[in-house]
Amino acid sequence: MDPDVRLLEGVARGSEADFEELYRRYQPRLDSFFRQRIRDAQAAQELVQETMLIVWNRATTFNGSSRASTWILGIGYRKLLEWSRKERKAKDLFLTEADHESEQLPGDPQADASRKVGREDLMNEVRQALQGLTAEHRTVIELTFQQGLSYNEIAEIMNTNAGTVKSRMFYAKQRLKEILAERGMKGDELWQISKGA
Amino acid sequence: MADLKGRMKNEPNGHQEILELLPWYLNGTLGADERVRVQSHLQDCTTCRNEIDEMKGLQSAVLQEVPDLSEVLLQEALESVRGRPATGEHPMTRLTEKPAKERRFFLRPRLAFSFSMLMVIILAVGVYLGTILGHAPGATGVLTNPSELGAMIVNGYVVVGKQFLQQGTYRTMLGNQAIAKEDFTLEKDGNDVLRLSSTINSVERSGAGKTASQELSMTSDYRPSSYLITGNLVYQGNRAEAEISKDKAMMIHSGQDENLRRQVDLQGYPVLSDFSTMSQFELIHRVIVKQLDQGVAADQILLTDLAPQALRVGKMHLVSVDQAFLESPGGTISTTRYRLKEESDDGTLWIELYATSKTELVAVYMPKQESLHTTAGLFAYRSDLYKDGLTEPTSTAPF
Ligand SMILES: [Zn+2]
Repeated sequence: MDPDVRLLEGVARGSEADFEELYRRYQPRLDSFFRQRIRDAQAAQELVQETMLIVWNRATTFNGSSRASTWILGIGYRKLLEWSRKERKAKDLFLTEADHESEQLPGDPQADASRKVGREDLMNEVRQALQGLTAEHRTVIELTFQQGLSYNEIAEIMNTNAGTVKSRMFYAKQRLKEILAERGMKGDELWQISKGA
Repeated sequence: MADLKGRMKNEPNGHQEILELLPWYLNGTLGADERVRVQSHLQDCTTCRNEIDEMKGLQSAVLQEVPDLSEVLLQEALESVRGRPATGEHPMTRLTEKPAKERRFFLRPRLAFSFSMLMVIILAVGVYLGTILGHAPGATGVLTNPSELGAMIVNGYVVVGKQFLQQGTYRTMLGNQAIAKEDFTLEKDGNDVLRLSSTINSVERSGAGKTASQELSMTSDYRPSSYLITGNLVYQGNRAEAEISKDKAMMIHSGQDENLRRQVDLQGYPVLSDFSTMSQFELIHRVIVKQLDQGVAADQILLTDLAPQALRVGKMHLVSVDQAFLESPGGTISTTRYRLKEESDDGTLWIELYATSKTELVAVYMPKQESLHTTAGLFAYRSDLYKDGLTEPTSTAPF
């Protein structure tokens, strides 16, 4: 049995030890999930805590029809949406391209792009470009590659269908390449990273 | 539409559908059917091969190091849930039946395995890490001669003599079947550090011909804090650690199948150490001898045994000490026999130690008994000393 499911069952019975173990497993995952979207580290931490408290309070409603990770990340995703709705200042909440540009060191992006750059530089470029995507697009990428979920699980978390998840991913990557081009990159950065640049 | 575009670019049928699957092909979550279709399509489609390279690049950029666990936040979260029962909005029947008292067992040792499973692990695999020795109040003392070979309890710690060295090979028999062999060395080095190295090879009882092995090394003073299992154990690379403080032991058992973390209340018992099967019995033997030498009455000697894998604590009482004989092809061996009774939530276990001197333990025997869940008794003996074997004792439990 999925050990996380076993832990969730323990939490449902009120086992604080199982909760502690589950917390140890999910706090880092949730933290990275939130921090990719929220610039305020404190707020990300609070969301982690709120999510885990919901896990504690609602563990009895977990019915095993999905993986434990899907269930927990789904709670996290809904927490995130709720939070961003509440704040209603999407520009501040989600890192935007503009935010990142202001953080960049002074310098001509064109010149930066033409200079010989290493793989780590390229990955940084891609990470910055990712911030220019919509939250939905970023979430699909993040849940796929950072959290390693299947498209069905992502659909469940985002409350949509598998087809939508696939097309979001497709357009997310297309848009990402456009953003890279807008930032003066050549457009083959992803390929270069995969080849070890 | 996309497919039409694909065909015009001379891409194989179903290209668009496969293209959309590539991210999940890459993260390994596709079902077997889709995976096979992607693989076969990739052989014919350069567009998809290029796409998968780009996806790999994206994956590398996205994959960042997962941040470390924040202990502060963990404690905060535990504070908030402590004493607050988990309340479901739609509790299922089986969960509404949860006994309130279960919650009170928080942080108390809980069985991670059934007892029979535990015995398979402990005895067939030969792993029996972790011993805490307890004692009656009058049983402490000082190690009068630090160079001696004994081990004893001082202020709740086990102190091991400076010259302490014990090594040997034990063979463990289940009836007439050899199920495990352990080589170990336990010694105190010049820096007062107790070192254990142990290699266990054993046969899994359930799988004919399957072997499991363990390499264990431990560095410790008389208050060790951790041990590490490496190698191909029955746990398949799982790792066990223990952090022991004055009154608590945190047991961490992690790996691909299991991830357990439990805190065990040591109830004030002094800590000995975490050891492999046989070196543990060696130390138990030394402590018993030392305490008897100091005039502690046999029925005052109480040892507490802790098995981290199963997070199980049992109290061992010395039941009796007498003379007994073991038979080997070379003749009869006269030994001192120490009979121990271990009680835990899992039942009672009866154990015999056979020693030829105050420093030479030669055999450990657990007669067939209910809590063992075996078809025969378990007999471990020093096969480096008795190459032709020893005959299994005829004791029956309870003693
Ligand atoms: Zn294709």
